[in-house]
Amino acid sequence: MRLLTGERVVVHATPDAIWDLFGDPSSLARVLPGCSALEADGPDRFRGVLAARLAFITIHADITATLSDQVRPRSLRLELAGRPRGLAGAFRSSIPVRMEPHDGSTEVSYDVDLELSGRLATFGAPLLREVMRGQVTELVRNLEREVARDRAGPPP
Amino acid sequence: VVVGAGVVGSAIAMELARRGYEPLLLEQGFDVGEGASKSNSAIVHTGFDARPGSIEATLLARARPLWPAIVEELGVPFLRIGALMLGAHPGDLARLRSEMVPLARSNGVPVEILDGADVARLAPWAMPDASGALLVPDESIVDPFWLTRAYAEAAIGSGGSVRLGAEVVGLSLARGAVVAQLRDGATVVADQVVNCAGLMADAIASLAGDGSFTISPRKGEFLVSEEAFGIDRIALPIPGPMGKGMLLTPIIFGGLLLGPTAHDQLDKRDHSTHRDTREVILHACAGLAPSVAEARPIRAFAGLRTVSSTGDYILRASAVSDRLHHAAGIRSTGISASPAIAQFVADQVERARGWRPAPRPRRLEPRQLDAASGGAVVCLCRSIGAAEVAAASRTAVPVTTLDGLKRRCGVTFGDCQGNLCAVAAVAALANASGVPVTAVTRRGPGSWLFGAPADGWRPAVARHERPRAVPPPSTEADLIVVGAGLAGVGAALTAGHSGRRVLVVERLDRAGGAAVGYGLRLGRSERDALQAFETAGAAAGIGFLGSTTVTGLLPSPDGWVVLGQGESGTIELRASSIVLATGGYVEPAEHLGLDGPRPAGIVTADLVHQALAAGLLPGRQAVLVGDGRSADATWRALVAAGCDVVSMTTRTPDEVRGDTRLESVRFGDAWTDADTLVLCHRLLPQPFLLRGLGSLDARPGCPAPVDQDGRVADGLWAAGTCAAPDVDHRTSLADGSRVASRSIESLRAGA
Repeated sequence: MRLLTGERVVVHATPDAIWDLFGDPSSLARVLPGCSALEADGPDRFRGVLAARLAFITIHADITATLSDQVRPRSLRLELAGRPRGLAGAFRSSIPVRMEPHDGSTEVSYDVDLELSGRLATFGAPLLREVMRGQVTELVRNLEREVARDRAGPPP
Repeated sequence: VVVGAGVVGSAIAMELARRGYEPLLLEQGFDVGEGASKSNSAIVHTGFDARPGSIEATLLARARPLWPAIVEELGVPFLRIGALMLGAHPGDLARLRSEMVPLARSNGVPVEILDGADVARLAPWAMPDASGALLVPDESIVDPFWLTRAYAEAAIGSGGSVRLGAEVVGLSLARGAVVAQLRDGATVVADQVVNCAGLMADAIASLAGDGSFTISPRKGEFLVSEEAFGIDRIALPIPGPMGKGMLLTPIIFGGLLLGPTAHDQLDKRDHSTHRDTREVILHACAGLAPSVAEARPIRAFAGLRTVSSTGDYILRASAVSDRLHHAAGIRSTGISASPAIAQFVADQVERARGWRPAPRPRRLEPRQLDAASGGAVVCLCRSIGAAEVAAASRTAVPVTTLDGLKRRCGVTFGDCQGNLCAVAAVAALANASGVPVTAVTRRGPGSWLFGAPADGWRPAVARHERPRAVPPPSTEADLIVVGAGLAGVGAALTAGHSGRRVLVVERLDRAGGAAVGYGLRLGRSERDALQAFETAGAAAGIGFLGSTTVTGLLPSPDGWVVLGQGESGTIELRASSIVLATGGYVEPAEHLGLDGPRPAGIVTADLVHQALAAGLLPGRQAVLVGDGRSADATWRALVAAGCDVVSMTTRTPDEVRGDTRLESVRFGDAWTDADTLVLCHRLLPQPFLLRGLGSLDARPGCPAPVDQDGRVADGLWAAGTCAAPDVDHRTSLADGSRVASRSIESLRAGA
């Protein structure tokens, strides 16, 4: 199902600075919302554990993330596949991301296609949309924090 | 003491506990929120259309800024989805501008006017000729059960306590204290009492000699649809002379709520619903969103709103004593105003005795689901696993009834209305609470679910205490057959004989599906096929993975990924082709919409056979609806277990009676006394897996969309009851075999 179409956020960082974060598992782990473990699992492929808080319940999921269709620093596709712990079923998501520079910031636009099975598929689209938007808001906050950290350089 | 653990009473108890007092919440029901708090539109209303100057409007306005903290601190499912008040006629836009906009502004609620083109863009599901709409962005939806429980649990967490099954029958305010007498003979002594008894608030007041107001019930009937038709906002009509009219409200965990009607009545216990009302609700709601006319409701329910003799909330101390406070007449906005009502009443209680607060707020941590495995699937309709059911059994407000469990994790809410999962859910609850299965009721004394069978009786199909876990010979196959009923067995044998690697995945630990589960009198070819599957299946290259429920199908570049869920977790299987043979389930009474209340004891033959297999008697005196070999087998099984089957008929029941357990059933003009109504009249297909793929909507009764060969999509096939329901499964075996042949031919052509 197409969960979100034409979503836009502005990140206070350049496209190159954002791009650099995606290649490195330790940076990516600090950026992905609720990420408690992440390791490289081949070129442009990662494996780890993400948590999503649905206000009333926190779901942990074992995920794999794959980056494809990369045109540095303009666009890429993030493929996420995972299984929630403690719930029956799985999810698979394809998120094409486009980045446009804007005076030192980046306008990021994205869509979210989501395939769900099992328990997650029984939650309504409004709830899932809210969760996805919340995750993106946190992702942007994390990105900006991480880029600012890189700019400040490593601690002495 | 707070009398009544509805949403208002629970919120007040939390507020008092957080201020450092020790409230005791008394509830006559066997769970919190058993009154109007469980049967409403689940909307957190802004009060944009409230009568300015009323207590209700004032408290709705005070509640609005409190909601973000409530949601955050209590971890309550809450979504701000906005509401559209839709105008159908050309003049409606002007009316919205001249009447509703000023009213909303005077209530301090932001609103926007949309023209017809805006509506078409924002709400493509709305009636195509909408002239415009009032958008109220802050209207929100909530899980009302979760909210009420979260208030009560926050009260407990801050030093309060809750007593369920505690009906107040006497109230004495003499000699400087409150003494509440309970039905069970116990007495409770307190300093002050808050009357939050909802519909019974006038009765509680009169126990103390206060006859200053009366409360009467206004019934609202609702319908529930699993399919939401893309509706993602609350939709409501422009209010007319008859009131606010009927709404469409997305349910926070999926699905759609339609209604309510508004009917004033005298009986405070009459929660009956009526078949005729269905058409009225569907017609009215289709006026807002035309596709809703195609809805197939899975159930109806009725809520009784309180109407006070004053026409407004009654929030004041009693004239009889300043130790008695009323929070009564909360109409239909109890959820929405609850945070503000709680503060208002707590302030009043403090002032009355000169109490000084010593705040001790506690947060409720969101429920963590971090079990390594979801466990075996308990609820098939919603893929709810044993881990979720177990987590739901451990809430601070104890869960003792099946309805309580339902409101904590969603079991029995889906298409089958509990007929496929109630036996397992009740067993899990009994196990968690350390009581016998026969002691678990639907919603308290009288609403018994299962009894003990006749002495010496043994189930014909024994339930295995620990399902046999058969490891699959391989997680890859040419063909995976989902379901080992007659259609699945037919498909597997045919494919196996063609030399293909076949894997059959089955929810139970045995083959035969309903044919064996019901104890049907099988034909020779059916018996032979089952025998061949059991004895020669492995030799023919057919693997069997039992006790595993398939919860998802995902297309992959070289075929399909099948996700199976068993006791030990999720297993991923791969195949070039899939044959779905997931069978069907008997249409539950809730889909039919019988007139009357909803007592325990109205079940389908599916539940009967599951209960009997677990050694439980589903009823003592039954009426059985249906004919053919499935109904015959059900009759035989019930009689053998000691149930008196007083009548067997092909007529559709019209009405039922019974407050707690079924008492009698009406067919035409004749009533038949029975404590159990068993339906075995019609089978609905069960192709739920296709919903996740988007190839089927969520309306019950939709068969797998197959072509003449049984194909659903590339490499995906469906056979038997899930594609063409037949209550007696006469064609299932042959259909499975036919579809498997086609799928093998297709594999050959592809290779």
